[in-house]
Amino acid sequence: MLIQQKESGLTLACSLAFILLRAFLPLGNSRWEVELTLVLLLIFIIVLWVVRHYTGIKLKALDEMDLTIRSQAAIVATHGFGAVVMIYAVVQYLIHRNLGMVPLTSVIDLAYYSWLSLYLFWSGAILVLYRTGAWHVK
Amino acid sequence: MLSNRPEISNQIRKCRFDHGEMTQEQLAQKVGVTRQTIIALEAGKYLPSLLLAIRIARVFGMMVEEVFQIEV
Repeated sequence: MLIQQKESGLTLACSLAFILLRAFLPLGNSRWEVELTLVLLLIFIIVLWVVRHYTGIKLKALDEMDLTIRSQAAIVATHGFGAVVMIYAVVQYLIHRNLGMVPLTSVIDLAYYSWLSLYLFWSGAILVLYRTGAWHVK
Repeated sequence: MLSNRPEISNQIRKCRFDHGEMTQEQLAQKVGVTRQTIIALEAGKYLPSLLLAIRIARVFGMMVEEVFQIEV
């Protein structure tokens, strides 16, 4: 397994783990829900940094195929990220349209889940593209 | 339009063997990429940049179109 695949696999696993952690962690009754969510987000960013150092991946060591795959994965991730934000916003609107406002916790959840989804789609796409080969523009 | 299958085939594997059974690692080092990229090129999973295609052809002392062919 390549270092790039190892890094992406670990990033994918961490993203999934943190999504599940937030979903099932009983923060709903806590008055510190927003702060705890932000702390989780901060821990996730630190974990990604640790993963990058653990795998020893360096952008300078990547060649043109690696960079092509990472760029194409970034396109996939952008679409995934956008879809998550759009769907989440629509759902929040439908839930809270009678009130005319959205709770602050939902705003922070949007920040949390959208950021994690970016890495989820990005790392997932990298793994798929290393298996299938990069796309070619005809 | 995007595709995972390049419409360009190549003779890299044949050229390597014609040049003293050059290994994938040796070719990779000569053209400045990783062995994985040479593997992907030979498997038809990656279409190289023009720069890389020229570098590969130069290693074998050949023209680019002798190493890479458009599949009709």
